[in-house]
Amino acid sequence: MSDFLKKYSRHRLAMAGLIFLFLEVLLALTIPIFLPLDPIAISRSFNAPPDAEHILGTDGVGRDVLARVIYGGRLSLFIGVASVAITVSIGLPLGLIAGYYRGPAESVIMRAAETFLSIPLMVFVLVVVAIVKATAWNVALIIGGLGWPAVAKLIYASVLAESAKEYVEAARVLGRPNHVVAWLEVLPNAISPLWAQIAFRISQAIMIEASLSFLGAGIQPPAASWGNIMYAAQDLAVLTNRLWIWLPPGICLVLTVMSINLVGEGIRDVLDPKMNNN
Amino acid sequence: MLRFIVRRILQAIPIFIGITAIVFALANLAPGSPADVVAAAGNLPEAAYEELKTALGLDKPLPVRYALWLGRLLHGDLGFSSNAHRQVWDLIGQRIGPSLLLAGTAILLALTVGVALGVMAAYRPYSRWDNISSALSFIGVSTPNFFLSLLLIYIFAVRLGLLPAQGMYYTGHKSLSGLLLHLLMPASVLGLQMVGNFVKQTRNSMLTALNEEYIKTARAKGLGEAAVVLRHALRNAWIPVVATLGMTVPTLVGGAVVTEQIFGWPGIGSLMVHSINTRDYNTIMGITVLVSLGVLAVNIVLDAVYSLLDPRIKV
Amino acid sequence: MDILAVREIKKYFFAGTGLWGRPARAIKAVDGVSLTVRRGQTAGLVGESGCGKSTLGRTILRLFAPTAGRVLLGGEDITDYPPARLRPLRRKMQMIFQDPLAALNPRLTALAAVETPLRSYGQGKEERRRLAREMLRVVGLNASCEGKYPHEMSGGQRQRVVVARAMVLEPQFVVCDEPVSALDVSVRAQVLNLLRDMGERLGLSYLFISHDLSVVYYFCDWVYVMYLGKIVEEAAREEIFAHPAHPYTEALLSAVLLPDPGQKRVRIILQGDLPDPLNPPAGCRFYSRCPYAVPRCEEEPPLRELRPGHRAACWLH
Repeated sequence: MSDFLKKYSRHRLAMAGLIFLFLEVLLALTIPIFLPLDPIAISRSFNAPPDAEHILGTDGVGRDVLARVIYGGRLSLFIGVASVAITVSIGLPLGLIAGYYRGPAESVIMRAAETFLSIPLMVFVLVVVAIVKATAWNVALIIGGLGWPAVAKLIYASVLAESAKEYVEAARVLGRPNHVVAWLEVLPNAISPLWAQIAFRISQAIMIEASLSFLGAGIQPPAASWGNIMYAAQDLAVLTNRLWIWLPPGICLVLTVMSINLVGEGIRDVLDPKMNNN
Repeated sequence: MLRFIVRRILQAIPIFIGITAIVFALANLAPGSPADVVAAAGNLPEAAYEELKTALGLDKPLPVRYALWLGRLLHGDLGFSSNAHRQVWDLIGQRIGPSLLLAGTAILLALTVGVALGVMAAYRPYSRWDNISSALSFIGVSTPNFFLSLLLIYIFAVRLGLLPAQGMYYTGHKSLSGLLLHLLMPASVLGLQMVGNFVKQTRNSMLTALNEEYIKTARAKGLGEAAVVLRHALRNAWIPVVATLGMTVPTLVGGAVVTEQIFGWPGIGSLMVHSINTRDYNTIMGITVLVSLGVLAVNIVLDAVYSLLDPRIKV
Repeated sequence: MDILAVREIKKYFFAGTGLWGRPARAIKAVDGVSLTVRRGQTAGLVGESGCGKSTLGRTILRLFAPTAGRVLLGGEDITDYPPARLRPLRRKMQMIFQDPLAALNPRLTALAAVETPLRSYGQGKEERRRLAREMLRVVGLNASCEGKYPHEMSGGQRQRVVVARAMVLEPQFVVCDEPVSALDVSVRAQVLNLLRDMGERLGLSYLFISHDLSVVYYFCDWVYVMYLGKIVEEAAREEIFAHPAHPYTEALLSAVLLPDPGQKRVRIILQGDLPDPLNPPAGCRFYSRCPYAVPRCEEEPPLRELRPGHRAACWLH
């Protein structure tokens, strides 16, 4: 573990990403404690440029943009983490079962994964969101629930390679039950590619939610999301003259996604030196 | 070879069934579906209720309904658009050309730039070109394409006035130059998100190829570097790049939905967004099933092409 | 009483699939082998790599399901036992692997590797730990090794952990699959001595798989010679080394130096490689490489008794 941290800290960009994320989480959680920010309250001035009262101005109905960006950040981080937790808790067992037990389970799971991968994730999510109500939990559930094949395939390939090793055979000779061999002997040795993948899945989930909300199909106002704040920029007047509305959430989004991806690449470089320099 | 393609098609059958079953299930869950209508009509008198069910085909068991739906699908009957009051199939048919044009241009752009950068990165690893290409790949996967689109429109259309921001042609006259100008921004946005994948593949397979014996032989024979790299190494190295093309298609489709919407491109993607915002479920399901089957078909074709190109592949 | 009896066991692997998912070809890795291991004795199984001896060892331990034939452990027919019924029996039959680095879980320390198998057999945590420590001492590893991971140990130390891990279960029968061939020559003798000591201590019976006849001579009471999935000769150690009957055994013996300087042998060099196991030659499988081949060898020779306890499959005898 300390070995991992030492190697990781040598990657300057990955460290920068980690520090940025740490600060972002800290700010998203603490700023509302110190500043009286309300993402829903409507002030008297709308479409107002930044001033002392509204540091990032107000949007088309008079809500404080800074407050919305901060609460939108909370939402993005929630969607990212929650959806990946769901993806992993579906994809990991399925990948392990397919890769370790093989047989009919393998063909069923891998065919199902191919089926899900044929439906473009963005389209799939859009369709389901059009049917159910797009609350934060639902969006996380949908993105997470539909994202399992990528994780399942990753774990499957890794478990398949690991299961062929002799210590797995040895564990069976030693009388360890099959599921114990799968979860306690094979999985811990096969799981390392997952850590970087988790980072990439988080950033992907954040991007999908933002795109969804930008299209008006995701999180609905007055709840704040980076995507639905930028929805306003589909209006040429906002895009041209009110940069304070769409630029800050966009920049936050890009920096967040970049930081998470940098962390992911840092993890991958440390855990798997052969795979580096993409 | 032929056996491989036949087997690949046979393998695709369960996936075809899976995709259609998922879309069928979604269509039945959607508000306004026959099932939904019946559920809402729960307080009707018994006889009228049964009559309604029979009229909507709900008296038949689920597998039969799926089979009937599939039969209609295979005959090109995707239902009626509640929004446009036209057959969904006609609606999509009208939009498919612009979408293919945009996607094709994006792939072409990404392949050209990606392969070129990948070759240079592999030829001199850790050089400036290598760094540029990895930075570009990183930006490509880390920038949501709707935000990139907004930035490009703001800079090139609003501020500089160089490029048109909306649509496919200038209003009033259809010209090729107008089309190309309209294509430039959305195709670049879509291409950028794929470029990283092509750079990575090209770089990896070029690195392998450049270490092969036949490259050393070619050099020893005194062939020029350009000939060695392009004619000998790249000829073998580009084949795996074709194979990864299939993996990028779903991402491309997802990106196209957002990008077409922002640039007002009259394709399937913007139709999808419009249908979702107006809750036009027949159109939504029609697009979903067609796009997914398209992805499946592209992958089969690419696998077949791959097996033709690389005689070692025998799955 | 035999601890192990194997009757006409077969293990086929199916390579490739046809268009409709049916297997295209069968590799007959083990093709009708019978052997016995007597209680407290060591049987050697000798052959070139690829002859099916490792597959046979794994099929006996039911790591592979046999295609045909029976496996009897201590008189009990375990051939058709489902995994759940087999598991309690695993205690009685253990295995020492060829490459200890591959056979040890990279994430387990020496102590943990020896302790974990006991978990499946219901001792308490303290008891497990005590037994594992004790066994590590017995195989000659001191306390400083307990916390080491496989990659931190030497080859000999690793193989001692593998031995300890098997022996801690107090088995009755152990398959040793080339237990020293991956080790440095300098530690081979130590590991062989350890195995012999453990055998005496626990009253073990071994099936000792090796391609190295000098090791077999040192270790085994009874020897089976395997060629392309079949036993071609079997006899007691002294008998087979003194009077090899099958030309293949003769060729193997001619290639080794044995502690018997009085005996002069002519080196017999085999022509060619092992035939393709997908298409073994018809008739005697050794026909294609045999220096004494006669037309009759196109017919398959049965395994016949030449002298009491000495059997060979060759038309010459």
